[in-house]
Amino acid sequence: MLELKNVTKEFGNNKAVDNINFKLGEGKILGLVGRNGAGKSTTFKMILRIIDQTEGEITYDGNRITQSILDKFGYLPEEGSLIPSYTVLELCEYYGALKLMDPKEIRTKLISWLKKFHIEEYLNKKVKDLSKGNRQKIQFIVSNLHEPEFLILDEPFSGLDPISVEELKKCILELKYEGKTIIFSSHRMDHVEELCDEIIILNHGKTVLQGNLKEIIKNYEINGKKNNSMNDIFIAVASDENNLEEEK
Amino acid sequence: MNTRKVKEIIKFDVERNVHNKWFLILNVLILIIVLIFTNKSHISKFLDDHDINFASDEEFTIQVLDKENLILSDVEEAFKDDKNIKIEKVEENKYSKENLPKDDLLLIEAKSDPDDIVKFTVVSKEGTDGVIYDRLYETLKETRSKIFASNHGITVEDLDILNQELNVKREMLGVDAENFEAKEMIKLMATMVVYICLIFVFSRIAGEIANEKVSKSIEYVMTSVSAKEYLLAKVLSSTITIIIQLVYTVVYYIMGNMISSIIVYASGTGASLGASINLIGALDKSIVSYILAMLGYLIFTVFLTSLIQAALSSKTTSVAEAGNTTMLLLMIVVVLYVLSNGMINPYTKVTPVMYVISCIPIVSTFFVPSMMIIGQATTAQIIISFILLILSIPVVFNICAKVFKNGILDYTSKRKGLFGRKRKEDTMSLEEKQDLELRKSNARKFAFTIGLAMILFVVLQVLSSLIIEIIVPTYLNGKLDSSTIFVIENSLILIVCLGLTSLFIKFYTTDNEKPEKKKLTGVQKFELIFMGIAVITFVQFISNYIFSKIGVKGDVFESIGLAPHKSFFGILVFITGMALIPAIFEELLFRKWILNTSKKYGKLFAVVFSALLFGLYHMNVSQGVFAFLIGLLFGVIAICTGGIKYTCILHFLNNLYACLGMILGVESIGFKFMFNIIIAVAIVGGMLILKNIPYLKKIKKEDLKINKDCKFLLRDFTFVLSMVLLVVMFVATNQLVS
Repeated sequence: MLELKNVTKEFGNNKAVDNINFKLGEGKILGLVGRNGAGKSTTFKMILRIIDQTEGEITYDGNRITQSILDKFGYLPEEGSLIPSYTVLELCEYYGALKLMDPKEIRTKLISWLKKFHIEEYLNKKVKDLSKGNRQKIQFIVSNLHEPEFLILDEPFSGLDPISVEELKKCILELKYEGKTIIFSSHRMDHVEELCDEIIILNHGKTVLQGNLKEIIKNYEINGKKNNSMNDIFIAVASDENNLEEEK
Repeated sequence: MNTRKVKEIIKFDVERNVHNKWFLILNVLILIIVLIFTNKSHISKFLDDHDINFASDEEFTIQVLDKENLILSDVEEAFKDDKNIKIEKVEENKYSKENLPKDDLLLIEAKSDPDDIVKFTVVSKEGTDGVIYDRLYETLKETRSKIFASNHGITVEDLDILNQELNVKREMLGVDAENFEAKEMIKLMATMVVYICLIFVFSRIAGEIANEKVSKSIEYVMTSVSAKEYLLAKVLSSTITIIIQLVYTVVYYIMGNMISSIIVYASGTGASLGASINLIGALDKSIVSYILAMLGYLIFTVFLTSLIQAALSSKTTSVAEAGNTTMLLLMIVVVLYVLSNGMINPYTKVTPVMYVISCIPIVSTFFVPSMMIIGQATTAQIIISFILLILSIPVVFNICAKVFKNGILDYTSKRKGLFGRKRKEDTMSLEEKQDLELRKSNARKFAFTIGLAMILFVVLQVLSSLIIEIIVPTYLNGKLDSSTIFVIENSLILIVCLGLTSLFIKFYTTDNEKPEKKKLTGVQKFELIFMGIAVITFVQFISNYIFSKIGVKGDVFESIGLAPHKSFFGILVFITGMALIPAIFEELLFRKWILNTSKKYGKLFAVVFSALLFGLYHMNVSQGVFAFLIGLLFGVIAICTGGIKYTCILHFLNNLYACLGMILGVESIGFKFMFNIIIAVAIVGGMLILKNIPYLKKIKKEDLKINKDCKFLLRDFTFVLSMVLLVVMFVATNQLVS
């Protein structure tokens, strides 16, 4: 179980993430949504210890996150985080080596994943020759290659065509049924609505809405009306005008 | 530290390095070079045996112009076997620039010459065939010896003995003479191989780290390994790549030697195959220990420099920038190598300082082996340098790891304070920061404008003097005397340089505020001129006194020895060119454009800065110091009156005084009379100054304030370059004049 307690990150005088709290149990999917610059990627990087939080505590199964715990994590960074001069196979060999995987195992797993996405022919293609959507698929494969028990996906659907989006959604749900815990971020509320159990909406680093997705949809009132779509709820809580009114 | 992960990364990286196509190309090249090197005796023998020479067999004519019959027979004798070379006797040299000789022709003229026995001239269209010329040269040399010998009644053989190179046998007992060449060769080859590998490895480290950083894949990597592990893996993998390369090179060397012995064995001329192959055992002990020491130094140095390279590349935000860091490191390595070769050789003494320097890590790699070659290295020194080298590894590693950890995930190009100290800017609010950036960029723009203007001025001066000194004399030579032409040239150059530079500043700066012009009453105008003359005279007296005390020549014109032509036109041109034009154009540049554009950094700054440039512009100490002081006065007047009218008048009067001194002669009655008038005017002016002293109270404090932003001026490269240029020219010209 992942737990964040009062986690804050400051860059100079700017609070990128301001006092975020949540718990995420096994086999659950958490959607982290917010506008550009809301602090989603920063939260991910703090969980992965790429950057250190200014305040607060992050634990996994009650322990502080160490390198050995991180090896059980899978991470899909923002788009474009692949080395362009490597081929897909070389890339997976490199990242697999970082997770201490056996080269043969890497190869067989990679091929089966490529087949799943119908892109077997890209095995020996260089990353820079791939389209944006295909790179995104490779990134997803890379993050799953070592069969992590916990997955962090930063904008997994960006750059994908509608059919690929459906394929990826299917994959994510399959992973969930295998018992894996997943956090992902997105701008698209329909993806969140379909996949998530829990949701956190961030705005300027602050949590503006948090809880069980179904309950939120059921109970959140906009102009006295319940059962709104997630999209309307997001606009209601995350647009700056509403926040200003709240502050007044 | 997770050693398994480090090992996996190293394995992956080394395999990628070795399977890289450039590594292969590099190795093929090294292999070819080593094979040629080890078999060079066989190659040259093969070329000789098969009569392969590179001389051409094209037709060639040598014409001999030899009225005294000095060389013809010798030349004919020398080339009698070459059927393609024709010797012709000619009676005159008909070739000139208009009538060029043919490509395959050469004319040689010989004349006896009392100073040099015989004088030869070789005429051809371009540089002739080297082989033919070399043979001709040898023939001519022999002919000359023959003539000299017969003139002095000695034999040619006697002369040959005298001509032989002086042969001194030097025995340097401290130097391992037997293995000297071998060690030199090993050092050269090892350094070359390592250097080539360093280029390869540095660029790979820089490229990979920058690539991973720019593509942000480093974020993924950092979730799997720590920065320290990653750094260690990257650097170790490059060091191992180099070691592999060294091993390969040794293999090539052994292979080359084996091939050589096989050739020897096959041709049946040399010893048995087994004896030649047992090459390692035959090596001298001192050479083996030398090779081992060399390898030790090199491997540690590769590791250290790779660490530095990795740390530097982590700081960059693009692959190109990372490439620049590679260039920097390689330059340092080359400098160290050149220094070691220059400072340490059998002909120089090794000083204690050099012993100390040679113990510094990285430096020791280049210095100690050089000292070992000449037998100057002590055991203690070798041990100390090795210990220091090994001790420096954890230190350098920790520093580099720190730099690397901070740098690798930092995508902002902002600069950090030295050693990670907090900079003032970090504590500023956003508005303050933006304001600071704006002020900085304004200061840099201003500095760039002034710097470019000054560089433009210098370049224009060189160019315009080149052009004007060619054009003006062609039109005026014969019509006017030389000094008038000189004055005209000089004033034209001044107009072009100062005028264009002024125009440049005028058009380049956009934020010029027009100074307020102040109207002066008639009396005030005269008072101002009188006071100005008083100050100039005072400054002149003081500076002349000081210069005569310290022995600097006060009057430059005198030393040039310039005097006008004694005619009305000549004097008119002289005064216009030497007094009026400089006054107008110098004031335009320094007091109008430079002063006005620099006013935004405070009036005091503007006055001092323009005066400083004005002083530097004069390019010699005596005039420069005087011009600086006068420049201060003119600057104050220009700011107070808001224009350059009065400074122009005063500047002109000052120049006119110097001109009249040259026209009339300093000792003449007329000049002395004028001098007395000036003294009288200066005394009146001095009294006026005393009268006006209460006005000094009107000076406000803010007039004397210097805007602190002017420190940002030194951040602009062009500005600094131009100032250095001016100072260098100042010093150089001053040396020339005095």
